[in-house]
Formats: sequence, C-alpha cells, structure tokens
Amino acid sequence: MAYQYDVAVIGGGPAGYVAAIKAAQLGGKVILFEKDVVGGTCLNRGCIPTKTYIKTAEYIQNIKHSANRGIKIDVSSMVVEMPRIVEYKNTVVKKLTGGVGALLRSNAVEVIKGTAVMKSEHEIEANGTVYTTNSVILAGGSKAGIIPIEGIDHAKVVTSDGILEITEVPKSLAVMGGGVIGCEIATAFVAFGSKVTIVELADRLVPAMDSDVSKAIKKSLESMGVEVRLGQKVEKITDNNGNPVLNISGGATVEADCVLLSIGRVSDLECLGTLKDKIVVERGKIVVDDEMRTQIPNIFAAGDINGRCMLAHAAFKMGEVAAENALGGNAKANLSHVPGCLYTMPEAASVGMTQEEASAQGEINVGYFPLGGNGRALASGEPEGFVKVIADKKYGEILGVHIVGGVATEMIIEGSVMMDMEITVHEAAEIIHPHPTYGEAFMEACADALGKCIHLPKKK
Amino acid sequence: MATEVIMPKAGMDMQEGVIVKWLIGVGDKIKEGDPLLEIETDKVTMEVESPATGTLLCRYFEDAAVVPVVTTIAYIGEVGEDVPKEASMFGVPTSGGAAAAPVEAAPVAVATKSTDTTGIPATPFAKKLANENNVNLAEVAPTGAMGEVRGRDVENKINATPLAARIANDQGVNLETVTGTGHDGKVTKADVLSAATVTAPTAERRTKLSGMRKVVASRMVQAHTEIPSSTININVNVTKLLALRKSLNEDREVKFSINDLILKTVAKALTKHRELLMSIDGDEIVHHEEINIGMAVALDNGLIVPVIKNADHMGLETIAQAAKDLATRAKTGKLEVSEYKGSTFSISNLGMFGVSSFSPIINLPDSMILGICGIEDVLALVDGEVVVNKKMGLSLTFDHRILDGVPPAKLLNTFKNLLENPMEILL
Repeated sequence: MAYQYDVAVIGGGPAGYVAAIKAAQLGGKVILFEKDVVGGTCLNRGCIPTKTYIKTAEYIQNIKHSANRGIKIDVSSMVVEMPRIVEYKNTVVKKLTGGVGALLRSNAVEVIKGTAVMKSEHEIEANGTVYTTNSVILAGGSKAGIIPIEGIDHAKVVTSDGILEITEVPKSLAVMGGGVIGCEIATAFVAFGSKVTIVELADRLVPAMDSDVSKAIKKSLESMGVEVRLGQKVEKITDNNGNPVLNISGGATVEADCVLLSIGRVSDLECLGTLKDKIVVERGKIVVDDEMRTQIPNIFAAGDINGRCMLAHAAFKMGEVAAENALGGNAKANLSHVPGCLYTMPEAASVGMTQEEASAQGEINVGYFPLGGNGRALASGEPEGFVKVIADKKYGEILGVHIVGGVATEMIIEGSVMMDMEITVHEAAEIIHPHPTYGEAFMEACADALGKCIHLPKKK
Repeated sequence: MATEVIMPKAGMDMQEGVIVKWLIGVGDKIKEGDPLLEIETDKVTMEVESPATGTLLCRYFEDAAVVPVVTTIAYIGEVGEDVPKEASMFGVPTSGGAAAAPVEAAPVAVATKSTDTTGIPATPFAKKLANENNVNLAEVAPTGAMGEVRGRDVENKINATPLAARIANDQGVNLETVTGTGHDGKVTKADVLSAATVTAPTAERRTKLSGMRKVVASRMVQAHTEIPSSTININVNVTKLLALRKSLNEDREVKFSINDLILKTVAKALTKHRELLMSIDGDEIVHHEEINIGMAVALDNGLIVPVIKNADHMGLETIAQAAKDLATRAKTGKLEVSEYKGSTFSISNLGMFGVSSFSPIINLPDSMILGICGIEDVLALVDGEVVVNKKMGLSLTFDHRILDGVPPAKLLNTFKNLLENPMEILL
C-alpha cells in the first residue's frame, strides 16, 4: 500500500523540526504537525525566552555595579518595565520561530497546524483529516510537571509557561524546585526586583550537577538577594488574602505574590492516540533504543517524549537520528557527552560525570582552576567561579568538566569536544589557548589534573 | 659520513626487488642523481639514482640478488670511511653478499620489535611518533622527497584518537590491527577496548594434579601406552531383557538395574570363556581362574573400579546387592584396598548418557573391558510387521598382545545371545 507521506512528524520542537528537515534532506516526503507554533518549548517557552530575561537581568546588574568601574549613574532612577521585557522576549521568539518556519518551507516540509494523534500504526488524525504515512516520528515534547498537593491549583501558582507571560514584576516570588529552571527564573526576577525565595527538597540546588557547582550557585544567588531554603518540602499551599502561602514541613511558611512551580518536566503523550496501549511507556516516557525506535518498527520517538535527555541540543541529535532511521538508516544517538547549561549569574555548565560519579567508578585526578586567577575574568569583573576537570588517573581520559563563571556555557563546548574526540588531559594541557580568555582556565585545569599547572601555586 | 643506499620501496605492495645490474663498480665515483643500479620489481624495471655524490664504498648484494625493500644495499662516501661489514635491515644484519639470505632475513625482521626504527629513512619526528604509537616504520608509505617517512605519514597510519592511542600502548594492542569506527576509520577508545578483549587470552585456571586424579592419570597412561588395544562393537536387541526386568521388578521394593542384569550376564558368559581371562606378567601369561568383575564407578573427581569377586558364584540378587554396596562405599571413600584389586575382567557403563559406542581403556592387569552403551528404539521388520526393538551397544576392548580378534568376538556374541535370551541368564 502506498502512503501519502514517507515520514510524518508529530511536534515541531527541537526534535520534531530537525527530524522533519533531516528527513526532507534525505529525500523523504515529509509532513509535520504542530498544535501551537513551531520551535517547541525551547523557542516559545523555554531556553530562548529565559535567556532574553537573563540577559536583561545582566544589564540591570551591570548598571547597578557600574560605579565600581567608574561610571557615574543615578541607579535609583532605573525602572524595570516588565511589559517591554516581555515584548522584547516575544520579538526574539518570533524571529526564531519564523526562522524555523522558513527552514521547514525551504525544505518542502508540509506543516499542519493542529493537534495530531495516532489512529493506527500508519495513520494520523489532525483537524478531522486522516493522513497516511510510512514512518512516524513522535516528538510531542514535554510539559511542566505538577505535584498533587493541596492548593496547587491556586490562581497565582504558575509554571514556567505562565511566569514568562506575566507583565508585572511580582513583589515576591516563591520558587518551588531549585533545579535549572527554578534557578534561572530566580536569577531573572531577583534582578527585576522581586524578593525571591527558592524552596528545594534536596540538600542542594541543581542536584543533578556537580556538588561544587551547587555550592557556587547557591552562593551567587544569595549574594543577589535570593533566599535559598534547602531540604524543605512544601506540604500544601494555602491562601492569605489572595496570595499563595507555601506550607513547609516543620511549620515554616513562605508567602508570595506569585509561586513558580518548577519541579521538573513530564513527557507529553497526547499524540499517542489509539496507540496509547500499544507503545511501551515506562515512568511516563516512551521507551526507545539508541536508534530512537519504539517497539513498533515504523514508529520512532525523539526528544523530551522519550525522556532520555530533556535538553534541546540532545533533542536535535535524537531528531536527526530518528529521521535517518525512519528512512532506513541505522544511526545511533550517543548521548554520553551531552553538556548541560545553567544560565545564572555567573552561569554554569557541565559535561560528563560529576566528581562523585567518576570517583565511584575508578581512580581519578581532579584539576581545578579558580577564575580568580584568570586575567580575562578579572578584567571583566567576574572573578567568581572555576573550571574543574575530572580525569581518569591511568590514561588521562576526560570524564567530566564542570564550569562556573562568565561564559561557562560557551566554555563547556571545549570540554565536550575534547571528550567526544577522546583528547586526554595530556594533550589538552599542551594546546595553546589564546590570552587573555576565560578558556585558558580550561587548559590550566587540565594541567592541574596532571599536577603541572603553571598559574597555580605549587602544591605541598 | 657515508650515505646508505637502500632497496627502494617503489609501491605500496612491493616487498622485495631484484638487483638487475650494478651500473658502477666498487671504488668508482658517482654524482648525486646519477644512475647507480637497475632494479626490477614484480611490475617494472627501474634505475636507482645515487642519493649522494662520492665513491661507491661497498655493495652488499651482487647482480641478480633478491633483496627486501628498504634493506641497505650499498654505501656512497669518501674513500677510507668506515662502513658496516654487513647489510642491515631494521637493525638486523643480513648475511652479506649471498643472494638468497636476505629473503630469509625478512621473517626475522618482522619478528623484531615493531617499533624498531633503525635503518628506515624517517624524520626524527616520524621515528618518535612511530615509537610512541607502536607503528612499524617499514610498513608506513613514505612521502618524503628522499623516500623518507615523514611525521604525517605515521599519523595517517595511526589515525586513532589520543585516548585510543594511549590505551592501545598500555594494553599492547597494535593499532594497525584495530578496525576504527570513527570518522574515516579513526580508531576510538571503544574500538581498542573491544580489540583488547578479543585478543586477550581467556584467563586460565590451574589446579594441582593430585590424589586420585594423579593415580587415574598414571594408570591410564600405563594401560594406554603398554597395551595395543582394539575395540569391537556389537548391537544387542534388549527388548526381551527389558521385559524380563520389568516383570522381575514388579513386586520388588529394590529394583534390579540393567547394570545388575549385565553383571550377571557377564559373569555367566565368562564361565564359557574362562580361557580368555589372562594377564601379562613380564614374559609370562597369567591364567586366571576366578571371575572377578571390576566395575568402573565415577566419582566427583576421579574414577575407581571396585571388584565383585567370584561373580559367577552369585545369583542375580547377590550380584545386585554387591554392586550396590560397592558403588555406595566407593562414592563415600569407604572401600578397603582389597576391594578394588584382583579384577580379571571389567565393565564400564555409560549407557545412561546415551553413548552409542566408545573405546574403554583396559583396567590393568585385566586383558579386557566391556563398555556398555545406551539403549535406543530401532524399527525392525518382523514377519512383515514393523516393530520397535530396543537396541543396546556393547564395546569390548581387548589386549591384542595376548588376544587375537576372534576369541573376544566370540565372547561378545555370547554376551549378545544371553542378553537376547535373558531367561538363560537366570538359569
């Protein structure tokens, strides 16, 4: 039987639109379904919007601290206009989503706006029409997770989707969950003028990252005025004159004008439709192998929907792999060197294993270089942070890189490259890095892992 | 310093060249770039130019010699300069002058450490790289102007990630033998690790050859080397035997085993062939009167052969009891020495494992051993009807020094007749 399309993609986020373009590049006839605007969470409600907010926050911080550098300015006259901040963010988002739309068009991908669901293994229904396809790539993405506690439906409890639309800076903001999203939103809103409190269940912020990163981020958030409450569980949310109040175990309460719920994200499985019981789902995520195959041979799942790694750049890779395999390939997505970025002030980034994980697996050397000893960081007034390189003791294999500091999220690329190309600390320490750059700290940390760092005092 | 002249490697697959003709004699002068000799490969004939200006100081091979590539064949220099007495290749001297010798020298060279860089024209960096990465310079295609191996040539040969190279070096994996899965065949860590697993010898475990195993081993060697043995096989229809056993066992609590019935059969058969019960003792033959049947009992870590003495005097019941008792005590290590000595015939039963035939080794000082094989269903045509027969194999090994083929064959037939007419066993 001939199908209308070679590949149908449900979801136009990082996994979906990349899969669609890749499949079209490979010569497939491709259709893509998107219920909202292409670009997904990343472009519309995640990575990009928060980064525009963080950059605005950085402006505010720089203006506040400009006197240190000899710029005289009346900081008290500074006004943060939230509607303009939202508008600016929307302009950026629109430009990028428009770009994605243009890319899809130029690759002759047919884009259908509407909610699409599986009708059978080869049929998809959207807006009352049934489309037939040879292969399917499910890229439904994810949505903010909600915990079932009393008062969670309070009108002023919002997820990251909601917080990015508010046009008035809340006087106080309580953040439930000190993960990446929680820390980033806290950074933005504390700079905008909110009194921010983070309540985290674990004993440290960003628990998935290296513990040194957690410590540094806690310190920097606190220095900006964020109150960080660790190891505390929100039992219920009550109301006080229209304001939500977090009731924390032990009796403490945190009242705020607005509560951000940022406890994590869950896969959006709406697109499964009638295949809901036929496709294997574990812990709310579609089970796939390294080739992005579900157990139904012609159906693939890429991106947040399979929960393998809920990051846009991992989704790009998964989308490409799924597209290749949907057209008969056997590509694999190797997700062992996916960097993770945290856009705070200063920012942080990691790739590979944490020190705890690595030392549990074998003997390691840890190289550490504080940015306080880096010329560019000092000149830029960003002496906070460090580069930490975890290397295998025997061969010098780089097992993990953890960076806190200005441009950490750009610097991490070098770590990813080294790890992916299997360059060891022995070679990395020898590579000439331009001076003065933040990046020199990476080379120094590699040298430190070998005990031969030039710009650190001799170890006793 | 004198300049060496080597047999050039004129193509990737060229292994050796023939010296067709030297164009100048020893002591003659030559200019750099002038033709020095003619060589022939399996593809072309070509002239080799002199790599230097000077005098041909020596030549190690004469016309018609077959010489492996990159072997030193001559030196050009100033008269009076010292040159090696023998040609060298990879630092291993070849026997000079002889045309055939260098060809033989090739495997020697391969056997030397692959990182040996002496004698191969290569840049210092190329030598260092080759040495660090376990690359045989002789196998690298040179791109240098003078035919020397350059660093880039070695790098092309390596094509491994730094981490993969380190691991390969540490674990003694030759990178050239590893198939790379990276871009353009680049060898990665995973490739080296999987190659290392494949090439690593499976770990061996050694335990002491001790106690019973040692005794068994030495007795087996003795029997196997001393005795020119021969094994003959026969198939026996045991349909009736099994039926008999079934009826005998009907009202019994302790059932007779097939082994019991065979022991009884053997004892009975041997009474008709007593003359076959012999042993060799030096240059004498010992004729045995007693029918003492040794039965091989498998233990966890060895084998023991307790003996049912005077089995021909025992009824089936007694034999069955004796066999059971001996086997039980053999397994718990409670046999008296006298209980596993003095056999005049032995049996070894592998029937329960469905063995179709085997050649048991004689239990010295016996001259025969009977192997009992498994029972299987065989279709037969009886009076135009297809019936199922139960067939069992018997394998008789005998000492051909004192027994020729016919007497054991006759004995085997007696076994067969008795087993196929089992009532006679009991009579």
